[in-house]
Amino acid sequence: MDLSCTAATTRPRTPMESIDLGFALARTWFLPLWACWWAAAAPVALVTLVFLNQHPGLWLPALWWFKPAFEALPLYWLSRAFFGERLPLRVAVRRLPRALPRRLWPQLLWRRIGLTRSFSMPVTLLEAPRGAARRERLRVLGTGAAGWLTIICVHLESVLWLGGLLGLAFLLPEGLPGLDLEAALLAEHSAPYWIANLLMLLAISVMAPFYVAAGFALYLGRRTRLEAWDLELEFRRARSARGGPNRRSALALALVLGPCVLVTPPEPAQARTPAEAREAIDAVLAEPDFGSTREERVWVFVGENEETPGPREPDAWLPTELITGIATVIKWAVLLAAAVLATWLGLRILQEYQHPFRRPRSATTAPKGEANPDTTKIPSLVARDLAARARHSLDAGDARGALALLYQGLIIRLRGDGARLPDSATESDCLAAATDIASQAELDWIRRLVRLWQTVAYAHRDVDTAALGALLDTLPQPLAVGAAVGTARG
Amino acid sequence: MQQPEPRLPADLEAARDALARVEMQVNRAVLGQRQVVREVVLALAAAGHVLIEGLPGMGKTLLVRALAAAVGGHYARVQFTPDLMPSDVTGHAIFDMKSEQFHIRRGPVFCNVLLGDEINRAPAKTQAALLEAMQEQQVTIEGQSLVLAPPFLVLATQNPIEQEGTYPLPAAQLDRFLIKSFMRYPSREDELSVIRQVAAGSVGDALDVSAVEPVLDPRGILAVQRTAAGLTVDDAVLDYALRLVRATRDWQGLDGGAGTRAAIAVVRAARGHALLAGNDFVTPDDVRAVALAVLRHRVRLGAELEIEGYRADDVLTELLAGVEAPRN
Repeated sequence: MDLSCTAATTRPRTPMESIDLGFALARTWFLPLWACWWAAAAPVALVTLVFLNQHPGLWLPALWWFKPAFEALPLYWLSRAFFGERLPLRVAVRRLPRALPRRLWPQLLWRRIGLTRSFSMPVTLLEAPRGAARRERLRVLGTGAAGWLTIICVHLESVLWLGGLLGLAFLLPEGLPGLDLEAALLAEHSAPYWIANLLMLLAISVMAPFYVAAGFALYLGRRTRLEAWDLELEFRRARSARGGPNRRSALALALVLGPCVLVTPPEPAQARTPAEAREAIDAVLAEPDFGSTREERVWVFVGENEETPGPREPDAWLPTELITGIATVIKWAVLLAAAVLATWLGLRILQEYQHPFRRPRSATTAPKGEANPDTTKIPSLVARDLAARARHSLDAGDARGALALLYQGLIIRLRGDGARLPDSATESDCLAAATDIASQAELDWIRRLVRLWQTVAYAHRDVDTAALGALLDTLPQPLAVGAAVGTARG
Repeated sequence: MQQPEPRLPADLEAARDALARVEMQVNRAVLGQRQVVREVVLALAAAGHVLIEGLPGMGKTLLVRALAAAVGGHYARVQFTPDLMPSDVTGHAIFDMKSEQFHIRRGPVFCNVLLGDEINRAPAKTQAALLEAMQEQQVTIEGQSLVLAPPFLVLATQNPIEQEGTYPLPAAQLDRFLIKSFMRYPSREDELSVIRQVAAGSVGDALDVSAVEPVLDPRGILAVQRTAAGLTVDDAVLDYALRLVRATRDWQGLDGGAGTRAAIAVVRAARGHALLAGNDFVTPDDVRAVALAVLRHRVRLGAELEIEGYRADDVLTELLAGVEAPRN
């Protein structure tokens, strides 16, 4: 590993800068990295396809599970290329066994699910620590940015996949067979589902170089910061610029200083007290090499500050306890009102969910008792002896009233028999309800009644008293009884 | 003792019979669409225009041609296309070089029965060319108002707006149609009969209305319409129709309700329905029977319900069940 031959400047970077560097590396070497990924992935894809061609829903998850193995080769190639060794693809493929982690199974089993794979893979692959050493190494190097990198890359994969799907579904020219989106997502054995799987695999492969390179750059960034690679490079550069001490000078220096070193006993590091050590460190840090002085001019307000009013004294006539009590009451009232409001809103939402268009915003029906008297308001006395009361009305010259009594008695009877007759029910609804309940003889009688009622109520005709009398003469017994029972219930 | 039905007035009976004959003739040509045929015939009685919606190949044009054949009169057809101009419908003034004067060249709108085929394939400007003719029974060309000879009936067909290359009709135009009918898929038996009929010796799939006999003429149509207009409508029925229409303005799920013209249309259509039923008066049942067809194109469904897949008919059905019927 030659730090002087790196593909990028070696300097401490923030995690986001490192990810940015990784993406730049992936853009630069996209084709070789992509080829490396496919070189590892294609055989596995084909082999699994042989076994899972009847289960496309399992094929893609299987390939997804093997992603750590597919990413090993691009990482291996990148780790060489970054330090100046560009391996041809053929050589890289030949070194695939070497590129894989020495213990692959942990990567595919208990280490498979995790957000920091992009970062832990370089440690595992390039340094190959094991067990506790690996955990300690990851703890030292660890950075939370690797998790964000995974989340970002997953989203980008999804966007690429969805974009491809929608593009095929909506942007294909007319005449070409379009993609059925529903089948692509749900119909497992359909061609669109396979196309969706292949698009997902393509999206994964496109994102893989970026994911691997960004993780590798994060790894390099952490090592540069912790191991001061930049300082080491600076020292190397400084030494090479001065030409370096020649051997003769070094020998002379050794001859002069050697006896001194041998004669003077070494001063133990603990000889200085902490206070002395701090002074020495401060003195060193005060030297120009470790800092600089800069002069800045700023505007400072030099006028007199206005006096800010102090806290207002509470009015003497309103005791503090009373204010606190009122505030507490208001607070609880507001909380109570909020709770009631929330409950009311919840109930409204539930009602809306059950019947999105059931209720009118305001009352739209006519006021009861005026144009549309409620039938249940018929005096019970009348209904108990329906025929007698109707005949009494007819004899008294109120033929229309007698007819209305009969019709409303019919409705009461039908409701009493369990017929569902809402206020919106019309005459035909009554007939339909009667068809299910009444006997044929009753039904004929009801038809005549309804017809007579319609001609009186809507055709502005005088009541045919003969017809009404005939209706009264043939009033079915169950109707009168039923009307009485219905009224008693109402 | 069975009470005899009250005798119908002679003109009422004649009108009912005439409408029944028209309905029968149209049903001979259009199989499996009895509901739509009935709505179209009642619109004819109520002197209202009809908008028929359905997928291509459902027999919309056949229905209108069959009706035109059954009622006689001057029939014209306009195939609406995206490049159709308003003057192609109403007519225009042309300069005669010989007489050095402008002459009015009347468009196809000057007829008794106008078929506007696929009306929503034309842009709104051309669709609006029918507005004046439909509402005021007249056309203005070069500032000159020309009265259309009664009866004038517009029967327009349209494909659902989900189809490509269509323009939704403007609200003002929709309001001019008395009713809007849907042509739905016929039953299997009816569809088989249609196929048999076309396959039996016909060349191509031409629409055959030769079996339809003219059973009415323009004078007869006017007589029927006059009879329908003379039917008794009780105040309670008027109030019921009005309450239905007013309910659409406040009903949950409807963003836009129907206007006053809708209430008038409900009563007119109910008269047509009553006449078809042989009644000389209108009942709440007549109102309710026509309410869906009259109101469905005059209300605007709320966005939420539209997204959830509801249609105006669903909301209106609930509305009909929620508005109290007269029972005095």
